[in-house]
Amino acid sequence: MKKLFVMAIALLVIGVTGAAVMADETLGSQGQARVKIHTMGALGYGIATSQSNAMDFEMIKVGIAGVSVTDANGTETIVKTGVLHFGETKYRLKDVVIGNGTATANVYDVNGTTQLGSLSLNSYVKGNGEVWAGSLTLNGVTYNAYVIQAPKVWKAEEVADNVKDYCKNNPVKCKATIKAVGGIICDPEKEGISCADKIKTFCEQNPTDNRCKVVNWAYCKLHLDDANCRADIIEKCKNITNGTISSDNAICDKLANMYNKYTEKRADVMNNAPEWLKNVRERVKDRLQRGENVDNAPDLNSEGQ
Amino acid sequence: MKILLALALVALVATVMVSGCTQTPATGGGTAKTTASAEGQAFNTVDQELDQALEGMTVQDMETELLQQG
Repeated sequence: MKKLFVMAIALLVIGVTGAAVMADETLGSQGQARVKIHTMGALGYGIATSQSNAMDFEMIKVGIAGVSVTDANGTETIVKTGVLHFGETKYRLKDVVIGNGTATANVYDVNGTTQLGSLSLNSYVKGNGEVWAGSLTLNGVTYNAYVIQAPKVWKAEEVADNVKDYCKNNPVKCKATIKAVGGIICDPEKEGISCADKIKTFCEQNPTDNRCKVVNWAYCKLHLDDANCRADIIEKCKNITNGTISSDNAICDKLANMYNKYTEKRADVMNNAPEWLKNVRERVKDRLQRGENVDNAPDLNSEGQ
Repeated sequence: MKILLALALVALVATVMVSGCTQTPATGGGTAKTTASAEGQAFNTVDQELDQALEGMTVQDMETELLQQG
């Protein structure tokens, strides 16, 4: 009887354990996957007006981004994707390309099976931020599309990811940047990726720590393709008054030069540029006339947050 | 005691059956499924981000308007 009892208990334990393991395996790829925005393209709402009939217009909402998807094994994939709401109808954006202030995509039905058009947008500085403008072709009709970029509030995990990315790829500068504003969390030069991971964890828990903020800023200066980074840079550039020497001048010049490049053929779009951009563009013009390379990466080590 | 033993056996058989139903698909199909799943997850994430951002914009617009009205 005793043996029978032990056997029954053993079988129960095996059964329960097996069920627990199976449940874990079943959830594994979905339950442990991490999905988050990696590179922000266009994100906001606006309007599309038919190029052939100005009164044929519709409200639109556009989201275009590079998304980081990390599976249960820790393998990260960047998926560039997007969504378009045209009136009440939702579409999927595929074949997405995000550049410095540019975004293009093909428009598919929401299941992503049938192509129905295409979208091409450039970002322009208007008012306090960026407005995306370009063309949308949908179901045979071509529209002019305008989208107001949504203001950005950084999430802790986004700051932490950017910081990790920067410290992994620029360990010397990462260390110097952190040392400039506080004690080092670890040594990315000597410890490599494990230190980048430590800094990431620290910044996830302390996103407002000065060290995290300065490294995120350093990351942003290398990522003009990210609309959230450009929003931060624009805020900095607004504070630079004409003639004032600032360590942030270089990145403002680089950003202004980026806008200049694709507005050369459409100068009218910049007629009402904000004052700070007019000032920076003048400086860029002078620098270019002197034969300087405006796109040189600014010295990241000597700059504050 | 026999009931206990029977219950244990049933639990074990059920686990084995569930295990058989949730086997990982063949490599090719599995990869395709994973890719499709990643695309789907990414698409949903962007759509949610858009919703949140526009909610924030609306609130901000209203706050600005209220501040202007004093």
